[in-house]
Amino acid sequence: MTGLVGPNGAGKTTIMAMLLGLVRPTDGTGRVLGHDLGDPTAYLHRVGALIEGPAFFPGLSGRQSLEHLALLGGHDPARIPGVLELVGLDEREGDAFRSYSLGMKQRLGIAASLLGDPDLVILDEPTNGVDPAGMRDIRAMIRRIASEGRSVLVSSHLLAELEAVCDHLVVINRGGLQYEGDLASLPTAAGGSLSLRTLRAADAPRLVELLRNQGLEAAVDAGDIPTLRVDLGGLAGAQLAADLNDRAHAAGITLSELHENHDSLEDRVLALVGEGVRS
Amino acid sequence: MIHALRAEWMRLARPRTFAWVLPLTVIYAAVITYVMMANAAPGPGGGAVTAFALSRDGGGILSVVSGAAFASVLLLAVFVGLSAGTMARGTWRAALLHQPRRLSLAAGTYAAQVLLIALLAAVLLAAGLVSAYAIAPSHGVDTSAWMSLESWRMTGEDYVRIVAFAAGWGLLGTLVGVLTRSVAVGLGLAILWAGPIENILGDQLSVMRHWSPGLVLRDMLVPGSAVVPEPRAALVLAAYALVVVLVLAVVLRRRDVTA
Repeated sequence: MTGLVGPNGAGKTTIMAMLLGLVRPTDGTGRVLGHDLGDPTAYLHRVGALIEGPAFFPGLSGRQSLEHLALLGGHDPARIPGVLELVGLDEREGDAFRSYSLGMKQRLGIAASLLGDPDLVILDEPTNGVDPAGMRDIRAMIRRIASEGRSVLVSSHLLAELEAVCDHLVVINRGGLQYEGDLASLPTAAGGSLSLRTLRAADAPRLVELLRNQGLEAAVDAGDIPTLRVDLGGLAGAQLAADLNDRAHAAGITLSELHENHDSLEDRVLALVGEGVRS
Repeated sequence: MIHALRAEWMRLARPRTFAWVLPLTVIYAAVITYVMMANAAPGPGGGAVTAFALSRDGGGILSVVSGAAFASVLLLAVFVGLSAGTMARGTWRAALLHQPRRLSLAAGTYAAQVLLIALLAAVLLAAGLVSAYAIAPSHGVDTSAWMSLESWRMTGEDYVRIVAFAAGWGLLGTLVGVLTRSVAVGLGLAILWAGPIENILGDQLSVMRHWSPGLVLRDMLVPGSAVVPEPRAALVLAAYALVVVLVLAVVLRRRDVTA
């Protein structure tokens, strides 16, 4: 499962539209499921997609919408009950699309993407406008889709969402590739850091001095009892934390807080693209 | 194309659609027949709806066939709405994800829409004939020739004319909708053209009367009162249809789908 991220205007939707034959590439080459990007009819029968939001005729019910698309694509209509159940719309299948909530519309869009039993599923912002409970459902749905042996390419402006479901990441900015690889291998923003806090406010300056004696510069947050942040700079966080804890204890400084900060996916992507990451 | 046709037909030919389209068609046929008969002038009329023409072969549907010409703006608006709406709403994009052959999708969709129009045209003629039988006695119109073989032949011919008339306006509406991709803009342009511009210019300029697609389509529908001779009208309309189809094919194939 691959996540596609990048700031506004980076080209995420355009890339997906190119993969789906909706937008013609102006330059370059590409292959989808072994076929050239220039001949989308050769592979699109093996691809399901939801791009730029769900679009259905408002007067058709959820089931009729899928029947319409099944006829259009020559898909087996026997799959309709299964995909409706997968996305949790089986009990509302007879209701008009216009009466659906945004989350239900997104789920119907995902159901439509699965009609043709695709090998590759492309989902553009599948959680857009969905409430937290709906996001959790869609996340579980995407995992289930991938667990059925399908490749999934998903874009989202909610990087925590991608972190929860993806194992592979593509980061783009201004139409250029910034990173492509395993999620775990994405470079950290600043090599990680340690946060330390003393039990007594008066000990904070002594701790800063102690750190300085160890060759470590601490950034001090404002507060009654300030939190000190030390960049690891490539040092092993757990080992350094244990060492500093020993030294503080020896100096009579009681620490109330000591932990290693792991950069979130957002921090790491921000470090790559250098600006706010939104869809 | 067959997939697209079946899908569009499934979407259009729902009980809900027929529940309001069929009664409207019947009412339109009855009203237009009554108005035409009530206002029929005496004398031969040369293609117009006159008392003499009404009592001849094909007179039973003469009113409704002549009245069908008034539906041109409605037809144009419907097809603009259908084509621009599908572009603006994103359903064209969604359909392409399941049927990536754009021309097949467009052709099948249009064919299903014309098929529905053809069905409604049959209902229009039937309702017009029934209405004419009901109204004729009160206006002194002789109905004895209405069931002759010649009348049935003329009915078949008129049916083909009505469907061709609707298909022609449908093609123009589809072109406007595809080019503008906006229901509001498309409708504005289409109504402006088919309403005031075409009719006013058609009255003032002979070249418009002979070449304007809407006016030539009207001539084809009611050939008895046509300015443009029938064979020439057919040629002009075929040329227009070819150009529209070519433009649509190029635009639909080449244009990126970004909405």
